[in-house]
Amino acid sequence: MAGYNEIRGLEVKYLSADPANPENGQVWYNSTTGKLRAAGINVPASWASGGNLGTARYQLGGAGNAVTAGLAFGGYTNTGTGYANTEEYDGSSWTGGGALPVQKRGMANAGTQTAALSGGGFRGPPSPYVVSTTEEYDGSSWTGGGALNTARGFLGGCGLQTAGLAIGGANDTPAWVEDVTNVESYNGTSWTNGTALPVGQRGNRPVGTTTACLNVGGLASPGPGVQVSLEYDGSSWTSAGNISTTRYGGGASGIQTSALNFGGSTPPGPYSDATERYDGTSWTADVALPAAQMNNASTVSSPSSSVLSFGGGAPASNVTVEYTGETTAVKNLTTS
Amino acid sequence: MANFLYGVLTNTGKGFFTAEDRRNFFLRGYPADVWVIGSNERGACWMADRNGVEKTKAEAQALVTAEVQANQAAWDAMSDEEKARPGNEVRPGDVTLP
Repeated sequence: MAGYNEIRGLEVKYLSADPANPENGQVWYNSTTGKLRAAGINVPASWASGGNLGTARYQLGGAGNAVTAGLAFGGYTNTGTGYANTEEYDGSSWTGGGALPVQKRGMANAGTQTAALSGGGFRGPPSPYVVSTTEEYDGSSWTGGGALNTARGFLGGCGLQTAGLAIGGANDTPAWVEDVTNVESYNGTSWTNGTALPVGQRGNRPVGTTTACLNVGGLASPGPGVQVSLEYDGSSWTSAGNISTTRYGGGASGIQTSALNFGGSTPPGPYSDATERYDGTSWTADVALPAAQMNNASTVSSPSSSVLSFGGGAPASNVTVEYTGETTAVKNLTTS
Repeated sequence: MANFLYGVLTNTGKGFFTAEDRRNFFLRGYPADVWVIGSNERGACWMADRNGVEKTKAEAQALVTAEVQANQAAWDAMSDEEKARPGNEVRPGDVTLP
């Protein structure tokens, strides 16, 4: 068997401290700790628990670009209570932020903790449920923005506060049977109609930008779920890889060429714990959520390697989980 | 030796389980705060450190089923209009523990 020096062309170095920038595959002996060390050891992806939300809720809005900078707002409980309150996450706990002007749920969400966008959604009862209002968050308070051209709820959203997308959704007239194909883009002031989806859907979970968007999942009520994901370049939709477990109403994060979709469901259920990763071409299974969930929210603008999922239900949940993608690390080499 | 431990534990938030925990042993949460835990030394220590109440599989299944049935009853009691409301379309499904 070849030795390390034949494989790497190097001897195992005897060092008093770990090298500052070791290369993957580099091996050394740390004489201070008495440990044989190696760089580039694979660390699989995993979900870990985060701080619990102050208010358990589902169909809440989610924004943020990092697991240390999440934003939760609005939502609902199965006891019939709607929420307007906002919470901000710092990587360990949630604290209160400025409340939405009105309680609502199932919005198109986009942006970051200090520059978030919430478009449309629904509220009540009583009818009419769907709303067209838009709110912008600046890190402390929500102010009104331009209204959607088409009021709808349980729609998908992605992008930034000044360059956001609102995709699909459901209309409450009559009786929630109509899933719409509308696509609108926001420029920080007003919404402009874009190219419609090929199929009306609700509970879809897009990621990306106004000119490089990936629309994932969704439900063409009363079913089945939408398996085809779609790519949007700002003017046209093209089919992308099929997600393997058809789901709607879960969470998503990332960009068009590197996305994560997790949780959700498809009638008749049950809720799903599936996590899937998209590489720009196809979806593959990733490590499952620690518990099945739907109607959860996520840090929509964070990279797919570092994601926050929070809330969900029914019943309403206050659970937060943090995803860390597959990576490499420096580790001790042991014989056990 | 059984593959799993069954316990009732309340998710206390940050640090309740870590990414490393989930790499070290099987861990999956269910309704009624029931957790199914890989039956190895690390899994057992994780449950003990969090004051988990160990259950038999039958006891854990009974707790989960009772919670699911309560959620199903709440869903069944909704009007057709409420059931059609986005996000409510899915009736809570039966859960069978591994």
